[in-house]
Amino acid sequence: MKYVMIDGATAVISVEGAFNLCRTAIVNTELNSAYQQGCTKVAVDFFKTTSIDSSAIRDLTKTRRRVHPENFMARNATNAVLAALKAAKLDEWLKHE
Amino acid sequence: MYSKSSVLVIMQEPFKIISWVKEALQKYEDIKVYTAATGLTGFAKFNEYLPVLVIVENDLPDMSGMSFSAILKDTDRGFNCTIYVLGVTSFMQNAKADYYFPTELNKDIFSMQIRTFFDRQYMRSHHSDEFERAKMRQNEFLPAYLETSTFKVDTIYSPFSELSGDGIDYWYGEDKEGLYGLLFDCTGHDIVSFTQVGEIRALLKRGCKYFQLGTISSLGEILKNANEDLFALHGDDTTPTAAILFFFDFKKNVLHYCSAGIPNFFIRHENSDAMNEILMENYLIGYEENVIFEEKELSLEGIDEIVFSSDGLSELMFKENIDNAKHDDVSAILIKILKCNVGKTDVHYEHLSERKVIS
Repeated sequence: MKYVMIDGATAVISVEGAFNLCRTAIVNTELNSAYQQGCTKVAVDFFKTTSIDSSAIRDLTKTRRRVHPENFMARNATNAVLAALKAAKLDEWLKHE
Repeated sequence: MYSKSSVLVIMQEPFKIISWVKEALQKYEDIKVYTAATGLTGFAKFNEYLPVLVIVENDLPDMSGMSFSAILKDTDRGFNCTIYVLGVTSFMQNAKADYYFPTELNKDIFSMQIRTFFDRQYMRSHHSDEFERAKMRQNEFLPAYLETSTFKVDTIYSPFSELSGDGIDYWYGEDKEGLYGLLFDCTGHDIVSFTQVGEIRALLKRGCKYFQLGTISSLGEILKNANEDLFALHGDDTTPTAAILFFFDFKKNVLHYCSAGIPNFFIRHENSDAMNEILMENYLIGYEENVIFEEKELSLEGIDEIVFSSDGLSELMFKENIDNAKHDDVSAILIKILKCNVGKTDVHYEHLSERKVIS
């Protein structure tokens, strides 16, 4: 898979560069595959992500709802990604770091 | 442009095929069938009528039907038409036709192919018409340029790809001392976002009208109610939306605003060219069911201009090292305040019909 890695029961999303509409469809497909392989948790690693648009925010919000908030977390958000998350108070996703 | 309702039959004896085509397409009353007896006359007829479907027999007097197909498909007019070759006994390389039928043609299968082809054409055309109507409808909802002796309001509305997930609106109150408005950005910038726009607009505008009437006491309460309504309507399928509501109280010279995930807006002070960014942090509506949205105030003293926008615009403004000229729906409400008249109650209001739409 290109953007999703499986680490035990956790599907780890890592998108290099812009996390946008072009990538969300692939991420969702790969996430569904991860669920089928038994993943019940999702982590978003923004280490390689330089920007995030509203399509990605929409889909991550729905992913969080699907796996339940306690099984969803994010990490390594900086610069533009962190600013975008903070504007919508979504930096609470990072609180589990 | 192809004629969506014409067929070119290139055969020496086309009558049987013409009757099958007409029988198969009885429900489409306006389909015309043209004929040609050779490949060369076939090219001429194609250029004249630009049919959407060409049915050519392989055994033409001047060339094979597959050669005809290969030539036509590489022309600037013929590359996108559909070609059936009939009477095929063996295949040539590089024929480029879409479908091949054997010498013994089965009427039922052939008729079904023709019918299915035109049904798809019709659906494509129908969807295209619906798409155009949606774009027209989208533009109908844009507020008109508004100019009074107290303020001027203009807009920028530029969908990322024809249909936008953004919405904007503004209007003044009956007391003529306030300007009310809203801007929202349904997350994503695809057709899914566009389908949400009407619902979000209705929820927010209804709340604003209640606020105007005094039934609702704060802009935050409008967003809270809209948020709860969205979860009541859609449950776990609720899609988040960024929004900002504003109310300019020109009598008190104060701006009231409340954001739900819109990151910022810009202000310009008198005698200055610099735009200053006002940052905001708040939940999106449709993100969590029970959240509070806090209304804030800003004195309009010394402020000449205010720009509310979706992040599709704000992420492009005053930023360096941007590698994408436009990456999202762009919308903005541009407000200029005419200082000399703020506070006066005898302001004169004037609507102008012109509006700015960039697409």
